[in-house]
Amino acid sequence: MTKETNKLIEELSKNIESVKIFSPFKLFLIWGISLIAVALFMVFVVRREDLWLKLQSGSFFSEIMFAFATGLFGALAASWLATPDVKQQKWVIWLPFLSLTFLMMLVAYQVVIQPVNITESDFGIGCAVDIFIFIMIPAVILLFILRKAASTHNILSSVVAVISVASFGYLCSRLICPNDILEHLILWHYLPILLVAIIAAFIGAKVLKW
Amino acid sequence: MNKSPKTLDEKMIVAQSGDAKIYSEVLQEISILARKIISARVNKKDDIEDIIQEILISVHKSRHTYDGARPFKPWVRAIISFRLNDYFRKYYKTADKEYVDYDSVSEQLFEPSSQENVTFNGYDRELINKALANLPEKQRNIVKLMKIEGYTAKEVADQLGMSISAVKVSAHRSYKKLKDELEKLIA
Repeated sequence: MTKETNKLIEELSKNIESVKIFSPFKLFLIWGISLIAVALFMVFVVRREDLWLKLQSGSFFSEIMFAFATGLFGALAASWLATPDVKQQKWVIWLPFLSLTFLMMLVAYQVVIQPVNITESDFGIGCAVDIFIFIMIPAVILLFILRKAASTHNILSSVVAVISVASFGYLCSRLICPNDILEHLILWHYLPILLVAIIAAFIGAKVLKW
Repeated sequence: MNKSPKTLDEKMIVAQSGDAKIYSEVLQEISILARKIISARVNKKDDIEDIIQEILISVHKSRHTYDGARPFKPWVRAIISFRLNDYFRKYYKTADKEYVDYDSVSEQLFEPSSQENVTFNGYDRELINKALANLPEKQRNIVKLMKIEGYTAKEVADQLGMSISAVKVSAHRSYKKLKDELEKLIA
């Protein structure tokens, strides 16, 4: 071993203090509880008028459930990925991608069975703004917390964190916006989510680099 | 009396609580493990030392993320491969820059400094020939064909039965080698 390496070891261990152990489970718990709390707030306070009726429809209910599951699984994967060894449970990474695939298949099915005419879409900039807020604020908080840990997969970590907040944004927008016309959903829900998610994932990958 | 930690896992748990002596031992053991892994993939001695130091700093920064309930080695190996990948990413980025530099080497060598093209940018033709003679045959042929006889990379590739990119890569290496040979001759 060289002198420099020995000197570095000496310096690093000189004034060492006890550290507070980072708990991915705790992070997931906090994130999950916040997700549930906000979802419940949306359901009981700012919900769309026809929410209870809509929930009786199988496809809408499944959509909400898959979005919720994707949000939770994304948070779980992001929390696990925050540790260098992914808590030695790498299979967790696949969960958000799995539920996201089901959600996407459900959305794609709706697109296929309904005729789409983008030109007749309602103007819905408000939905896009809501989505931006629903995604960006949680994304900043989550990335800030994840930065305190030490992910060795900064890009993947950022992607799953963004999947989590994006599906959370999607869930909220579906719970409050009464417009189910597919053209409106594509233009003012799906596209803004995709756009914001890409930007957030790109920033996240940079932020999580250490 | 406290039982002294024996395994690396136990030592790390004690180190997390602020024991400087044990922490120093942990870092020493990590540097030995890291050296073993890195030496198998990196040749340059200085680079190996730099990577080990990067790893030690990373372990120090992220020591709060080690969970004592799990084995220590996979945790530290994840950090080692993370920093090793970082090194390779930077290494190949720099290698790309060097690749571009070879072009300027070629320009420096073969830009004619007089209309008669008697010398090559200050290098005497005789000196160039001497330096060329020291090059391996394949490299010598490529330099002659491309820079003295003026064939394009495609034409050289056709003549020598090589791909265009292989000719270009070989040409870049040859120019660099030629420059080194010239410098040796001048010295």
